[in-house]
Amino acid sequence: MNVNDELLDRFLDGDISPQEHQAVLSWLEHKSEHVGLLAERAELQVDLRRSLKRRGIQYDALDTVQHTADSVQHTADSVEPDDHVVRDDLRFPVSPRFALVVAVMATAALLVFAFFGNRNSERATNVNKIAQIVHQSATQWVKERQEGALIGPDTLQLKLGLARLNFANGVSVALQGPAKFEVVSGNQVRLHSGILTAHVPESAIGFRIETPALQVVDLGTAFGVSVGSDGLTNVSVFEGEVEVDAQAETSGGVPSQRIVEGQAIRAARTSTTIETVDFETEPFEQAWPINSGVLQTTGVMKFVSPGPDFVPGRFEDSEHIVVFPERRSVLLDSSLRVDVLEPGEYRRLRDQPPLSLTTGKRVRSYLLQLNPSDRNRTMVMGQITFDRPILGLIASSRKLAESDSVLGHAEGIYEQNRRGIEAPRKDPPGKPDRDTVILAADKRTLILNLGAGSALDQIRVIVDDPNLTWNAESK
Amino acid sequence: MDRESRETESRQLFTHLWLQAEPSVSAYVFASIAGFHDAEDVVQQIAQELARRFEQYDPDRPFVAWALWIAKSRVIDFYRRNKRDHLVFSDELLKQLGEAIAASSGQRHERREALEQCLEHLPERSRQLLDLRYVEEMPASEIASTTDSTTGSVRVLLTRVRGALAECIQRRIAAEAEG
Repeated sequence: MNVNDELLDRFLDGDISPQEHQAVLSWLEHKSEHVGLLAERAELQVDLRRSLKRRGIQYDALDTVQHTADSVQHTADSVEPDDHVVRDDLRFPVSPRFALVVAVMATAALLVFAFFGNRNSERATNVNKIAQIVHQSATQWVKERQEGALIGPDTLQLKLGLARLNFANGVSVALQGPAKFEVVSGNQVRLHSGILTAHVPESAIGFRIETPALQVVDLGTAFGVSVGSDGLTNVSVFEGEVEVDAQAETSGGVPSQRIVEGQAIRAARTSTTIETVDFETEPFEQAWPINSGVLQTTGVMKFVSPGPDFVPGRFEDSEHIVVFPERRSVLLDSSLRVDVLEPGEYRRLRDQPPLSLTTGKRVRSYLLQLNPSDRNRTMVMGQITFDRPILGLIASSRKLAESDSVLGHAEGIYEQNRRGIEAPRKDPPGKPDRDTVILAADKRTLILNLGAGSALDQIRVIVDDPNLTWNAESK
Repeated sequence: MDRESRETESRQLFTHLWLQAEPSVSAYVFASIAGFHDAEDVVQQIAQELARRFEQYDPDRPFVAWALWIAKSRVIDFYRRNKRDHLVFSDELLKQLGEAIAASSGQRHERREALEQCLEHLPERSRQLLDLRYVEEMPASEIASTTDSTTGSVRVLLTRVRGALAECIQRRIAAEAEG
């Protein structure tokens, strides 16, 4: 069998018959040079996927463009091989899904045009919406801003409250007022004063935050930045790492500094040096949960502080039901046993019939944990509201253990013995059931009522986490 | 230097080395395990194991070679877990693949830069096709039904676009070397 690039590509895609697969293996074993060819092809596909995903997220953001791809003159020099790589007979039908693709592609073409062709101010206005306010809580803006508002290059002044902005490239920024924040581009913002936390996915590595004292460049991470009225800047890295440079003109030649998770630095406006300081989470504890998809917690429910020490198994709090964010953007491609799928009030989670969650969707996970030191306490109640629907709950020890490898925190340490909600004891006469779990009808709010003496250990919450950009969410 | 400082330094060094080696490890795993999603999971496991065993790393050896050595074990684990006892790479083939990728890892950064430039100049329709495959993650059959084409035609066209990009990358690297 002739092994060519097309067969190698299908081999890498897994889109191949057993006979063809065997032929490729024999071909590879025949000559070591063949292995090199496969390695090159694999490398190209890995790099292509990474680059296009990153670009795709950015293009998706430009949702207001109405022009079709045909209206855009392609002026750049071509790498197209003989007789056009993609022929005209590869027709694109007008379906809703396709319409989105056309819009995205038209936008992409326009972006190329905008950068490489003649600039057109009217079009530029259309494509300049680069972020969206997706959530706000108790906010007071200097200039009124509505939830859902699209933001172009602009300065936002938040007097009070919390607001979350999603950027086209997947970056999410939570602002805590009072704050003055400037959106410069999809990849660059300025924090003049106030507090923000940011989560930057791999697709947006290189996202830059400028303050009067520092330039902070993300290297794939989550972090918090606070800027005082005098420009004094603090940066704390919760996950991953960032690179920081002093802004002062006299700092030329001072090398960049890398700050990794669990570290914090400080710099003044005129300072040419960057000072290492103790890692403090307190300034960021209000804004960080919003970045993590938790809009509100009440009662004894408490979102864990940001930072590498605050993961399951390393941190305990006997006074609260602690909420640990565990994993983001996990593709559930095989069934997962869960205890709750539908809204309702549940008093005996362990008595629920076996349920499976098979979504094919991307999800994120959270672990809710209480280790009560005082078993004689009175009833406690906690409530948590997520920004996306809850797809399932896991509360039994075995199912928790089963899901650890898929949904558990990468750095978490999980006990393998009894972890779920304790089997309810026989209720005293005249007393209602003790533990109650309520999943609200909107599937975003979860309420836990825990009776005296009961021991909730852990509940894992699985939340929808699609790769939506802000323009898709807004529809 | 106290223990905490040493740990911090070690963590920084690991992060630096992993960021450099990760593209090669991803290519290795993707070549030996069909499908991006399975490959991504295995790469994640490899990163965790490398971090856990970083104390064992001999700094006199290239990090990418050590990472690929660990990657080979995780790929074999994947084969076992998924009961792929046939149609998998032999031990020798996995070794050769690791050597090939390690040998070409030196110019990896230049090739990725060149790819970015080549993508800028890709015709719009070729770009649409790649986006359906890599951004929308559609298999060839789904692209065919979406674009009113045939699966075979889509496969061939994808291969041509990738081939054109591979040539463009080579041209640019050659031009850089001459310039």
